[in-house]
This record gives sequence, structure tokens and C-alpha cells, in this order.
Amino acid sequence: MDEKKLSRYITGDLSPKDRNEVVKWINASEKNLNEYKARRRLHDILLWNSAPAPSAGEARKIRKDSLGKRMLRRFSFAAIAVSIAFLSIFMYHAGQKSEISNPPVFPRSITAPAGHQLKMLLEDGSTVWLNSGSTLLTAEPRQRKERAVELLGEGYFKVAPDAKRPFLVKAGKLEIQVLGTEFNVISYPDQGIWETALFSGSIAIMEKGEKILRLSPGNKVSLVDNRLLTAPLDEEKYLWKDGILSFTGRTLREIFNELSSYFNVEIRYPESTNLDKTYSGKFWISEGLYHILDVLTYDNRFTYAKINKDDEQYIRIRFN
Amino acid sequence: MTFNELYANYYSKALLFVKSYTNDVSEAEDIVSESIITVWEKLDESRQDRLLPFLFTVLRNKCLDYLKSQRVKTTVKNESNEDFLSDLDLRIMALNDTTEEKVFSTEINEIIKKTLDSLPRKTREIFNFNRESGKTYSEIARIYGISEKSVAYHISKALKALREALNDYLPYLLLFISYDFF
Repeated sequence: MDEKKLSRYITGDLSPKDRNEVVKWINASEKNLNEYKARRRLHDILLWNSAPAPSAGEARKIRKDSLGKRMLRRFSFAAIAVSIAFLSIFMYHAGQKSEISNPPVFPRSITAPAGHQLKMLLEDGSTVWLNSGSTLLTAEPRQRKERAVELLGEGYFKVAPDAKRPFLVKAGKLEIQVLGTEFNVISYPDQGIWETALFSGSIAIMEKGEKILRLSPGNKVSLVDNRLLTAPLDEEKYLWKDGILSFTGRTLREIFNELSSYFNVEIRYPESTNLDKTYSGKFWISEGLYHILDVLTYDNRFTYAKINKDDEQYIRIRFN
Repeated sequence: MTFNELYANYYSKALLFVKSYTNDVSEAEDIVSESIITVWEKLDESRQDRLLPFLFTVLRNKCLDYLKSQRVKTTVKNESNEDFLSDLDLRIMALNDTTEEKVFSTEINEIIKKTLDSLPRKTREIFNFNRESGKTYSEIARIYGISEKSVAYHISKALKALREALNDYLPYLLLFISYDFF
């Protein structure tokens, strides 16, 4: 028996054909079976007694060569299903001081790690996808008069209909009131970015409890210089929820900047006319940053290197 | 421990573990995600120090459920594939045998530390890196700037030492130990 095959059988990285060969070998004799059991146990012991891996990002880089047809069927690689018991009321008012008689309310918060999306199933049947680095604040269990959450960053909401309990998303200064619908919210107040795109149903944008705008499906509304502007939405921007990063006619500079913020790594590049070249393409986010960079280097315009010295960690780009 | 820390620290390890039994990455990702959430929801102060064994047990049970449901499905559907079934049975047997007590103990942990410390630094580093990153030999060879053969040498050297040191904790061998594989 090939040593490498046996260890790859144990780690689950063999093709079905090679697996059968190893299984036949294991079942051929008591001695072989014992060898397998010992190796198997050794593998588990060593795995669980080693230091934790440094980052979740590493997990994304696990090779996907053992993937079967299921992979094509299911797009949930990076999505993680969080079921939060009783996600309902949570009105977060920055200026509101809690009354003395009430114990302080500590909201639950969930943040999608860099390079990952989180898919959450809420108690009311609604689904929320959180984009990389974004946070959703929810209420403690037991407190529910209405369904309300606060979003920091980007999230896609598929809200279960419930006319009696409107769903409220607080995003920056504004709130979005919903009855049952699908929409995407981007809110980065520190960067002055605020946008909501509606796919179906209807939503109302509220400010200080008052309705200021009603949005119709297929449109998005952005906050620019304190004014709300509506425009038709561009579907490709919202594919992240299915684990896809899509670029159409984007410059290398834009792509580097987006990858940098998406995967939370610094990408350093020299000024070059190459930065204005445009690219189009779609990537599975789960394939990881390095896969995307590898593909982008196919036309030999640049090379990249992972720099990891002293306290500095970044990706260095060199143009050819 | 926040959800993020739990997720960031243990996702990778948990995925390697579950994938080694499911042989299916997307299924493993689902099991890992569900398990981390279960652990997070049930984690209280008293369990903090037993976090890893707790996570292990949740993963193990969910993974066993999945493998057993695969077993039932395969029989019912009559996709009668004997090779696949005996592969599945091997994995179910192995996972059934792998209980928390057999994986986690202070003695095991100390033996591993001692053994790794006794190895040359480079051997130890490459071995640890391989375990923690799940990278292939060729990727490690590229990163360390050595040949794939050297990577294999360092890893098998570490494995051999660990296996000898941990012999008492591995399933009993009826005949005699064969090191042909190292």
C-alpha cells in the first residue's frame, strides 16, 4: 500500500476510485485493518492536540479536489446557517439612556469573518445573509414586540411575511420598514456609503420614525450628500450572497481595493497604467483570495508575493 | 469567547476533522457551521476550559448522524455499490471508536509536546504547519523553498516519532507493529 494514499484516504482527499483501492487493502487482512485503525486514531489525536489554526481564512484554502456533484448543487460553501432563538425586538437608539429600573440590554452581535458570508435563519422564518466583515445586532431572547435588527455593513434580507409584526432594519441614520420581501442593505456610515436595493415586495425608508420614501422592486436607493436618489439596481452586485464575487469591466485598481477589503488583507501595488486595465469575471469566494489572484495573473500582467516579515503582512504586486 | 473567536480559532480544525470522515467538503462545512453554532449557544462559563472536547463531541455526533443517514439512504435507494458501503462502514466504525476520552487527555497532550520538542526545529515546524494549514506537500515545499521529498521526509519522521510515543493510546495491534509505512 502506498503510504501517501493511505494518509490521503484518512484525511478524506482521495478520489472514489483510489478510495476503493485503499478500502480493499484495509479489508484484506486483520493486520491491515489494525494499521488503518492506528493511523486513523493517530490522525485524530494529533489534529485535536495541536494549536488552533490562526485564522478562519485558512480554512477556505483547503483543496476542493474531493468534491463531488453535490458541490454544484449547493452553493452554501461559505454560508453558515445560524439559528438565533427569538430574534425579534431590538431597537438600538444610540442616544437613548436606559431607565434606572431596567437592567441594561446587551444586544447579541454576529459578525461575518473576513472572506466569509454568514447565512442566518431567524426565529420568525426570515433569512439574513451577512457579507464579509458585516455585523448584525439582535435582541436578547424574550424581548419581542416587533421584529427589529441593526445592520453595520452589508446584508441581504429575505423577510418572512407577518403583517402584525413589521420587520425593521436600522442602518445608520435611517430605518427600513418591511412587511415581507427581499432586499439588500449596504451601510458604512464612516465611508458615507448607504444603499438599499429591493428585489421583491415593498419597503419604506424611515427617518426618526417617519416614512420618507417607498421603494418599488427592481430599484435601489442611495444616500448621497444627505439626499436619497433612486435608480434601477444592478443584480451582479448582490451575488455575494450565493458565494460569488463578480466583476464586470472593473479596473485592476478597483479589483485590488475590493479584494483587500473583502479578505481584510493589505495589497500594495506600484502606480502603473496596468491598473487601468479592466477585467470581467466571476469567482467563488470560497476558492479564496489566492485563487482569484492566480487567475488574474493568467495574462502575465503582474505577479504577486505574500510578504510576512516582522509585524508586517501584506501582498506585494509587481507589474511585468 | 465571542462567536467570531470561536469561529476563527476552530473552524479550520473542525473542518479538517469532519471532512476526514465525510469525504465531502460542502457537507462537512454544513456540519461544522451547525456545530459551532450549537457550541456557541450552549457555551457557558463552566464549560470554557472544556471547549475543545465539547466541540469535538458535537462534531462527532453530527458527523455520525450524517454517515448513518448516508448508510440508510444507500441501502434504501439500492444504488448497491458494495465498495462505497464498505468504505462508509469503515468510516462509521472508526468514528464510533473515536470518543472524547480517547482523543483528549493531559497525558496525550504532554507526550505530543515532549516528542515534538525532541525533534529538530525544522521537522517540528513543517509538521505543525502541515497539520494546521491542511496544505499539500507541494504547497509546503514552495513556501519553505525545499523539495517535496524533504517535506515528506520531515513529516514522516515526526509521525514516526509520535506514533512510537503514543503507541499505548492507539488501538491495540494483534500481531506486531509494522513500520513499512514510514
